[in-house]
Amino acid sequence: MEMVALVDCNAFFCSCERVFKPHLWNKPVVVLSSNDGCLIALSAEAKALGLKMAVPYFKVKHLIDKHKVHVFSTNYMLYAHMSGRVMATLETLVPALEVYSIDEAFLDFSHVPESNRTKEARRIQDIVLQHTGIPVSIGVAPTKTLAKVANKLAKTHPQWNGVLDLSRPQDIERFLPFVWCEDVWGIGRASAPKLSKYGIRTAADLVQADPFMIKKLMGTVGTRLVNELKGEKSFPLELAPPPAKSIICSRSFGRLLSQKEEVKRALFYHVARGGAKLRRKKRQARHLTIYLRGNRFSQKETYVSRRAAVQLPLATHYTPTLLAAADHLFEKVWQEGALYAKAGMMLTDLIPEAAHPTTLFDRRPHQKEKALMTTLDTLNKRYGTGTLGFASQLQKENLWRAKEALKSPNYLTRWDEILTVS
Amino acid sequence: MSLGSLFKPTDAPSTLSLPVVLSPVKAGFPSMVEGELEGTLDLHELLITHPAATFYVRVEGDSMVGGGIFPGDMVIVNRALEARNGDLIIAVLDGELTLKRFIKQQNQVCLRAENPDYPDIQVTPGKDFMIWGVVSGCVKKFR
Repeated sequence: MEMVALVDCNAFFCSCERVFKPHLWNKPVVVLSSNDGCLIALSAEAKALGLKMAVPYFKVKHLIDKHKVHVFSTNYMLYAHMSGRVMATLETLVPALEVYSIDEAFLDFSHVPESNRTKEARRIQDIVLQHTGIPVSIGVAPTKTLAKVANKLAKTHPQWNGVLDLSRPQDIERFLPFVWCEDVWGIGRASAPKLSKYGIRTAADLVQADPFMIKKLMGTVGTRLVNELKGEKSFPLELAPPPAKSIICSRSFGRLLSQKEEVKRALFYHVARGGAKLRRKKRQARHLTIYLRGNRFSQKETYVSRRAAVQLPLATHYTPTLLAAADHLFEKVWQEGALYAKAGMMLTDLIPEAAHPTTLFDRRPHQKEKALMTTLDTLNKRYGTGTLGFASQLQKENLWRAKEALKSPNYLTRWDEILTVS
Repeated sequence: MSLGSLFKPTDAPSTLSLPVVLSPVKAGFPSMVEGELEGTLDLHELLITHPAATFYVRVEGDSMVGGGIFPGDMVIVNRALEARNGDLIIAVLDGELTLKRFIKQQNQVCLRAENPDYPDIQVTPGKDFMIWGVVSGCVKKFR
C-alpha cells in the first residue's frame, strides 16, 4: 500500500545552532532574519514564552532580554549544510524521498509493513538525531496532505514523542476534527475565513462538505486537497526537484538611505549575487526586475515602493549585461528625496544555459564572457564572497551587507571556524 | 601565490586527480600495467566513512597529550559510530563539550583524560551526560 512519511526538522535553524552549543539544548533560542530584522526561527521554549515568528526583533527585545533567550543572527550557510546532511542521512534509510524544503522531506514509506510503521519512523528519528544532531518529527499517512497533518499533530502533542502513524482510516477519522482548516497544507489564512462562512472549520468538515461547493470556493486545487484528506493520492512524490523558476536577491539596508549612489550600489550588489546564482544553477535569465522600497513601519515618511522590469533581448547570466540593464531600470525608478530601506532584484524566465549562440543575431563573445565569469566565481568561492567584484557594486562601508552581530561560526565551511573542544 | 595563477580561470575540482589510462599502448615497451590504472588515493576516502555524520573539531588544551593529541590538532568525529569501551569520544558533560577516553566497565561510565593533572570523571546517574560523537581519527600538520 502506498504510504508517505513527512520528516520535519524541529525548530531547524535553532537545532542547527544547538548541535554545536549543547548547553542550549533545553533553553529558549531564536534565530533572526538577515540584518537581524525579524524572528525567523524559535525553539519550543521560546514559543512557550509567547514569542512568535516574523515579529520584528526590536519589538520583542525586552522580552528576549528578560528571559535570557539566546539570540542568533542567521547563518544560512550552516543551515544549508546541516540540511544537506539530514537529507543525505534520510536517503540511506528509504528507497526514495522528495526534499520538500530546507527542513522537510517526504519519504516513500510504501515498503514498510503496517504493523511496523511507527517503529520504523522511530528508528529514522533516532538515526537522524544520532548522526546529525537534529531532532525531527515524522508523520506517516497515505497522502502528502495527511502526512502533513500527522506531522503537525506529532509535533504539538508531546505524548507521541514526535511520531504519529495516521495510516489507518479509523485513526484519520478520529483526528481530522481536531485539525483547523488553516492548518491544512495549501489552504492558508486566505481561504479559511471563506470556508468558515459555510460552517467549514476543520479538516473533518472539509471531508464532509459538498464537493461542488469545495470546487466553487477553492477551485480544482481545493478538490485535490480534500481528496488527499480522504486518503486519495492527488500529489505524487516529486523525486527530482523542479528547476528554479526565479532567483531573488534582496535585503534591508539596516538603516534608511537617501543617497542615490548608496542605493544604487546596494542594488548592484544584489544583481551581481543574482548573476553568480544563475551561473551556479547553470541557467540564463530573460527577464530582470528591480525594486526599491521605503520603510513600511515608518509613520513619518510616506512609503515609497518602486519597481521596474525589462525583457532582456537575449538570455544571459553575464553580470556586466545584468548590471547595465539594472542601471537602466534604476534610473527609471529613482526618486530623489525619498528614504529607502530595501533594494532587491528578481531574475525570471530562466532557461538552461547555452554554451553557444542560439540565434543568428547573437554576436556575443561567449567564450570570453564565460572565462571572465568563471574567474570571478572561482575567486569568490575560494577566498570568500566579495573578493572580486565590479567597481559599481563595491564600496568601503558594507551598509547593505547582512548585519550579523550574533552570527555563529561557520563550523562546516571554514577551517578557521570549526568547533573547538578541550 | 603569483598573480598569474591567481587570475587563471579554472574548472578543476578541489581534489587533485590523476588521469586514468583505459587502453594501454600495445607497441613499444611492454607496459607493467595490465588493464586500467586505479584512481588516485584520496585521504577523504580513508578517513571519512560517514560524510553526513562526520564533524571536524579543533583540540584546545593539554588534557589528552598522553594519548598523543596536542593543542591545535584536529580530530575527526564520527557521530554514526556507537561508542565502545576505550574509544576516544567527544562527550557533553553538563552542557559542555569535552574530549575524553570513554571507559565503560559493567554499567559504570568514566571519562578519562590522558594527563595526570586531570582526574577521572565518574559519570554518576544524576549527571547530565551524552556522547556527542566518537573520535575516529586525528589530523596533525607539522609544517
